[in-house]
Amino acid sequence: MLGFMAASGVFGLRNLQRLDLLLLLPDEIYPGVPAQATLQVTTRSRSLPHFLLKFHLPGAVAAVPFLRRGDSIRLRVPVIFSQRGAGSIDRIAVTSPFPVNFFVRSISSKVAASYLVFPGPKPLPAGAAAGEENAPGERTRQRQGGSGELEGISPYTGREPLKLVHWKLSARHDELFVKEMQSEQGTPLTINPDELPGTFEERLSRAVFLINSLMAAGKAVGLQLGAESLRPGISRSHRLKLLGKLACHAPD
Amino acid sequence: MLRIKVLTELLLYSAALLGYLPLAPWLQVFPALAVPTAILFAFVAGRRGVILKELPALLVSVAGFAYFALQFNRHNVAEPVANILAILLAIRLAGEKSPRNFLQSITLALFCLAASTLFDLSPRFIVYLLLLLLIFTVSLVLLTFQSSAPDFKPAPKELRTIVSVALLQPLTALPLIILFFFILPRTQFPLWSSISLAGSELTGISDTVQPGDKNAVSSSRVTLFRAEMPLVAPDELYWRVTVLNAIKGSSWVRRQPPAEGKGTPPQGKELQQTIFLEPGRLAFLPALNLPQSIIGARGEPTADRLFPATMLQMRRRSYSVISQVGSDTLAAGRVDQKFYTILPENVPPRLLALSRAVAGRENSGEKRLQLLQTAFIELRLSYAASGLPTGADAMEKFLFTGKKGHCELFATAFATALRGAGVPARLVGGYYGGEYNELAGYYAVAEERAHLWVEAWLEGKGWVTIDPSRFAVNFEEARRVRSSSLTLRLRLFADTFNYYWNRAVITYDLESQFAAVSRMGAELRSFKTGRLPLRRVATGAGFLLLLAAAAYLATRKRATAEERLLKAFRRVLQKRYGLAIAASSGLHEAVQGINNDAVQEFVAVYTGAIYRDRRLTGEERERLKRLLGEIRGNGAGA
Repeated sequence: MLGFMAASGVFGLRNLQRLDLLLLLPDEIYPGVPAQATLQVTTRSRSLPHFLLKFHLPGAVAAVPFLRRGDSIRLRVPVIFSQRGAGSIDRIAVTSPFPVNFFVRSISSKVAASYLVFPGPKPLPAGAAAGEENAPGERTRQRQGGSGELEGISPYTGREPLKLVHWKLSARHDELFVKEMQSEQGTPLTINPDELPGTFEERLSRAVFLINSLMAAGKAVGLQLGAESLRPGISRSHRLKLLGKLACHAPD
Repeated sequence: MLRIKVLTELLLYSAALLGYLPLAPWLQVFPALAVPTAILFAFVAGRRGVILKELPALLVSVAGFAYFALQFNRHNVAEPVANILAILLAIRLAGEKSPRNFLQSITLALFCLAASTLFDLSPRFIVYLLLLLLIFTVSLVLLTFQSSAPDFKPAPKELRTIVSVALLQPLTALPLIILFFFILPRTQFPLWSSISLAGSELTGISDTVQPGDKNAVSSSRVTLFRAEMPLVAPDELYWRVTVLNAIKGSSWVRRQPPAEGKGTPPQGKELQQTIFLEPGRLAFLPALNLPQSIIGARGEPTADRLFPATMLQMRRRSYSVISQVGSDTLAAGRVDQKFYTILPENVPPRLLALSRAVAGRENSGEKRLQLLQTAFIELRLSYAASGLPTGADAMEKFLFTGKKGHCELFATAFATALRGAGVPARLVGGYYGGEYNELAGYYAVAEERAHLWVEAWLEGKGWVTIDPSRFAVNFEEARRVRSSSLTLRLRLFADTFNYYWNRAVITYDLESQFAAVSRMGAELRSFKTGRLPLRRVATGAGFLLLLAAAAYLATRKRATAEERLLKAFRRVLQKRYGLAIAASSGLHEAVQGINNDAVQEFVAVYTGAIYRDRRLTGEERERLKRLLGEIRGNGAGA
């Protein structure tokens, strides 16, 4: 019995070793909302396959029942973060009940993946100045729209209209891409969270909501954070830059 | 999922059978039938989703438990436990098949197998145990898959890999098991059977002989002991176990023998035997007639040369005896004439008359013995193992009407006749003959060889051995054990395994472990003093090196032809184009930028096979090798 226990222990340990992990986190993450992370698992084991692996990511577990020796797989994992802000995942717990279900063995495997969680979007309360026309802030020019010149390509986040999906490009990858088009009309806006109603966090959330909804509608949006001022823009990267500022914004 | 589930179920039934079969002979009827019925039920009804529900299962368990628990007492421990285990196993098998129940069932099967050792610790156990452990480990792994990844449906190839890795575990554990076997203490005997030996298991010679109390003799071929010794003449194979010297009514019993004077030592040659005795309730240790001394057993020999088994013999044990063979006389001076000439009740008047007549004709014991021998031979008695006379007048029937009997009747009749003629006589119980195993050099002696003979005390000589059964017209023929030569040989072959098992496993006890350790210590000490056993060290190191080399080659071989080709291809690309291909990237992408037909062709052929999950054909391998050569050639030319 002792011999068996020792052997199963060795097998269990070996099952978790010789794994290389690569974690890719999406660039647009909101607290409490599942975001599609990609975990690439590559085994360096040349002798034995791996069995019943589980990778523990924030708010999600990815399971791989069988990984052939020398194989590499990509897993789509919906990860969930609870708080806004910047952070990084340095290690992932890899567990397996193999070979016998009496104990779950675990090791922590190195990955280096940094992430930025934006404040969760929150609509403005009813009665407050909602809608693009009355949104607080300064108006300038430029906006994103559904027509006009192609400005860039970005991954589909679920908010863009389907007609903007770049089908040809998406077919060549395993995710959807959307075209970012210049808008031909609209007034540029600059949002100042301090002028929004609610607590500090609520104001940030509302600012995120406004940025997202206004830019989806094709408006160019800028941001005023205390003394820092960002000029209005319409591209996705501009929007992520604004959201990033809000994510890292601390009360004075 | 279906595959894993079906496989685990089949493994479970096999495990249940492996646990049940060795225990079955000791079970009562209901538990004995319950397990196979449950397997059949689970197999047939379980497929249609019919299972034994929790409540009826609980009721049957409780009823079974209560019934057998009531039979439980200090003298009957093993049997109720075995029956309860069998019932629990049957219930678990017929019930729901959750991973938890699976595990419980296999564990119960293991317990059943373990319980069988309470009755019998035979080498078959190790075969059953190994098989059961193999099934156990494979099932554990499959159950882990079943409960951890219930949606996982492995391809046949994946399933094969899972099973082989699962099987690899016990194989890896084997060296450890062997190591632990030598360093950890163990139990060596069927523990409970010592407390509760069932009647059927009582082996050996009874301590009372009553002529006419049975109409057939035992024909059990269960081996009682094995004696490691050279081959000797068949008529020298008398194994002495007990001496019945007193009378109680019409029976012969054993009393403490009266003191005897010392006689002249016997003539004959000394022969040493090492005896491996099976567990039983023999009061004395069997030894080849005439035993002189014993090694490896405590206790002083009795006056009539028996070696008491100092305690209930609960385990297999071994000891050595030095015997005097080729002599039929046990030295003894004066003996208690009165004690050895008491007659039993119900002596046939005709036998008594014969004795009295002999006593009247001759004065010396030796002459009287000869006369009686002649008289018995003239009776033309025949030896039989069945259809024996029974009842109070059994001896009368045996001697004068039926003329058929077995050793007990021959011996008691002759001893009675001797005593009637005033010659001190006693019965000696033991075994006659044995099957010699030339392979391993030992005699195996079975229950059916039980025998009874007579010792008569003669003035100036001592106790002379006489086997009255030899007066039978058909003695040799009747005592021959009937077996075809093939079955006999097979039996001997199987018995050889038993014998080595006993030698290597059963009698390997704590003492032997200490001996091994102290031997090792002694070797180490002698090593320190500078007497370096160079040759042994070199041989050992050479052997280890060979083993390591074999292991290396065995693992190295696992790089397949495909892997070797790919490795060579990578090397060439690295050298020729400075291109390192990551293990994880696809070949097509990696060689996209290389403008070389041979490279592109290599990738096309290689991936054409590998991506379809098949091996390269011989032709393809040749082609790839040629292409590699071309790529190298190009490199040299450029």
